[in-house]
Amino acid sequence: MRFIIIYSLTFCLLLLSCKSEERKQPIDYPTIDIFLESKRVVAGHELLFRFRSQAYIEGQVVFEGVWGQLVQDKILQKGDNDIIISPAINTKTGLASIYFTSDTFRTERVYVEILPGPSASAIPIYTGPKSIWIDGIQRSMIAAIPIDTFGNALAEQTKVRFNSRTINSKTLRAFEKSKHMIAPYTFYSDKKANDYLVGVSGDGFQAMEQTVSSVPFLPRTLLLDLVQHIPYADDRQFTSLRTRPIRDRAGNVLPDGTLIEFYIHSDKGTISKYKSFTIDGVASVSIKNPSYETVWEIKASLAASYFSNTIKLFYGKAIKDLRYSFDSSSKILTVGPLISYLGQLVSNETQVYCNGSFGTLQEGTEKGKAIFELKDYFRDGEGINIKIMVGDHEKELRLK
Amino acid sequence: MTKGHLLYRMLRYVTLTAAILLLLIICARVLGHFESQYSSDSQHIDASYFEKSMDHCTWEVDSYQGFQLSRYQKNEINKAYVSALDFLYTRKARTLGLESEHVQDDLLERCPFLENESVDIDGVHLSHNLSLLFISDDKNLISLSDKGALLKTRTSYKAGGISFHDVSRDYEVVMRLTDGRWKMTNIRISKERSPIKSKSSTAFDSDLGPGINYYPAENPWRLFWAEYDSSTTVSDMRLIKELGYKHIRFFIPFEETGGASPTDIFLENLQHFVSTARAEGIHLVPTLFDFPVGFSLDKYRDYAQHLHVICTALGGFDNIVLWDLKNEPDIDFNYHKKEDVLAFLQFAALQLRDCLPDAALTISWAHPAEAHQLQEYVDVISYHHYDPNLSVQEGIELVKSSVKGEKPLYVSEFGKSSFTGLAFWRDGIAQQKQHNTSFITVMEAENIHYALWCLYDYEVAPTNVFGIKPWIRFPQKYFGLVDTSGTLK
Repeated sequence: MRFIIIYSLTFCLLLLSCKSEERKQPIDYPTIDIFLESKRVVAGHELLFRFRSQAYIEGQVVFEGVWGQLVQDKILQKGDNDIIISPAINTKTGLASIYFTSDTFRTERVYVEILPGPSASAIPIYTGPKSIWIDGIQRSMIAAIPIDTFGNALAEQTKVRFNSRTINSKTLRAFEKSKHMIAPYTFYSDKKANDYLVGVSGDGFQAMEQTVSSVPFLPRTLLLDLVQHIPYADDRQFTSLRTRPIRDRAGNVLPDGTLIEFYIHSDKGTISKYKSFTIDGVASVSIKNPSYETVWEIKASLAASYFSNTIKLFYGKAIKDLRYSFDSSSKILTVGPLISYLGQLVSNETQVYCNGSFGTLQEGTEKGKAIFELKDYFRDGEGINIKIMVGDHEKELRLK
Repeated sequence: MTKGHLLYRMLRYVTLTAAILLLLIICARVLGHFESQYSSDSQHIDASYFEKSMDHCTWEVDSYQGFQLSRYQKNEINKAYVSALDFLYTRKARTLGLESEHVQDDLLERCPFLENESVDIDGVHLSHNLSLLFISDDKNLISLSDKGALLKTRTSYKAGGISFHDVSRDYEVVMRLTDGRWKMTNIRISKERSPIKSKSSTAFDSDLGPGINYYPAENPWRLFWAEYDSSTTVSDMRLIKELGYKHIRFFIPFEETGGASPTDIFLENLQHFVSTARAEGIHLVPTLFDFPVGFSLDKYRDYAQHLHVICTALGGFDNIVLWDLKNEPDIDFNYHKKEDVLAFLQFAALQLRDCLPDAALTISWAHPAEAHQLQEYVDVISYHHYDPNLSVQEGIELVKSSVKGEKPLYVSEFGKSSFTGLAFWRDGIAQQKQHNTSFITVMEAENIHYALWCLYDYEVAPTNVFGIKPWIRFPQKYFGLVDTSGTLK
């Protein structure tokens, strides 16, 4: 009897140890099937995966989405093993996958589609441009991204309501459906300067109110007047011009700060562009006179689309005559007195140039005269050829 | 002097000599460690981590309702999108606390992320195929799709294993331009599948004929392309032809030629080299990615771009009969994880097949025992034979026994140095000739392709290639058929 008991006990122990050995001994390539309760789960809900393993195995469960991976160490027992992804983790929509891996093998991925959760109470919207011109063809867009409470875009075709109105108009209502995560609403500018108020809402969500300013644009006329003009090629003088008050077709004065450009054309084409901004609808500009005899044509422009009348300006020679004298003993060349357009002496420091084989010398005038000492440039018995220049006057000389 | 004294003195000298030798070996090892070309590529992330080349981004649709994205806009979007996607996916960046200027803060906050020490998963997107789905009127908000983005992941287990996996994904993304930067505000995966597999092999039936490895005499190894001389190429090609060689194996390093963006001057020289060979009727075997390169995933995009540029430059030359993906990658096993090296080679092979579907590929293993590696990815089994303890016949048998199927064999390097060291009484040149002749006789009898190492002896065997150990470096100078004075040995 004792022998039977001992034999039975030993047999049981052997069985147990075999079972225990089987449980603890991992095998390299077990078959693991992964089951899902549903192929589609809403974000913010618990995700339950059932791993059916043929054997005990240690490894990691990897849950992967666009955001990267979540790795959990896991021991799979033979049979069914439930893996739960908590609602706090299951927050990103789109395709996610799960697999089991160890350093010797990896199961196939099993995919689950995470659907958006309940819509957020406030959704992001993007508006642009924030101001549009009142020409009736300019447009602005409000793009709403309907999202759930986790920030995921809601399902495609989510309906978004756009209510827009100006102060004096009725409310306009429009519906747009989201596509590629975005629901865009486009509207066009009015004929009068106004602010548009746009409200965005939907099934359980709203967005911050948006304002789009409709500002005056198209000018009815753009007229340019000459204010001051000294018709000589004297670059110490200025020519002043200004526009008449610029109004749009509705009679609104253009807003302060509207950019007006002034183009200067000569026989060489467009030679310069000045910029000015309107104040009370008027833009002014002061342009330095040219230093050479020429004819300018000036016109103003708004946004390179609307042009004013052209003003033609003549700039005559500023210096009536180019006089000089030369002292052959001291080799001093005196240029001047230089007489200007009203019979007066040119102002001090008017620059005079003397150009020769030695290079270019430059002197400023004093009481209408500029003096050049040239004795260093003469060789015995030989003369030199020079050219003197002031403003647009030139004269070539041979000095001995 | 007694016999005891003599023994004592001899013992003292032997001990002293042994100590000096030991010291020398230790010094060489220490210096070698710092100077070895095979340094393990670091895993750290620097500021340039996300500033990679963007050639892997293509645009299927770049217009929306009449508006066309400019090249500049596409480039800016590419950079931001790739950077944001990498940032979201890459554990390293996020565990290091790096910030991304291309991911909107609240998107990042919403993404779950937990550390795990058992497994490290790294990933890189190797291709993107973008389509513009929406752009707002003010051009500050866009919606994109990225179909078939190829994601390669590397899973490293604490227990030691490493595995690589590829998936192809479709993404849908919303990005917004804020303060001059595109930021990702929403993203989701819409589809995921296994990537389409490239063509796996090409039948190789060319007759390579006798071949020789080539570097010019004056500027070998790393100096070859840096100091390329077209007149030297012309005269060397003639010499090679006169010597009866039908093909040349030559080397294209990665870093030295411009890395991800090979330089124009290099490409010009490369085309000159190949066209000169073609004019002489010589076939070529370019060996890519020469000298050690890193094998971490973040470098893959650069490698793909490098490969693409080289293939584009050389794709039209019919005298390139075989592409060698890497020289002696099994030596890299000593310095990198073997799995990383093999994964890189698989990647390079698939990339090359994408660029040149009909090209024949090989990988030149340093040891016959490794020649079976990745045999399913190559068309020709290639290895080097320098082992004095292994006869040529034994080497061939070893390779044949480990390789499945009937792929042709190519001994892409063999040879013997005529350097005799202190054994000045030996005739190194005669031994070299005899070694090469007997080797060639066996290979021709076995119908095996081969390329001798090499055309020239060199004045210098650079330390940045061979390290500082003189007993390794000096023999390297005397493997050539032509000595340093220009005379045929």
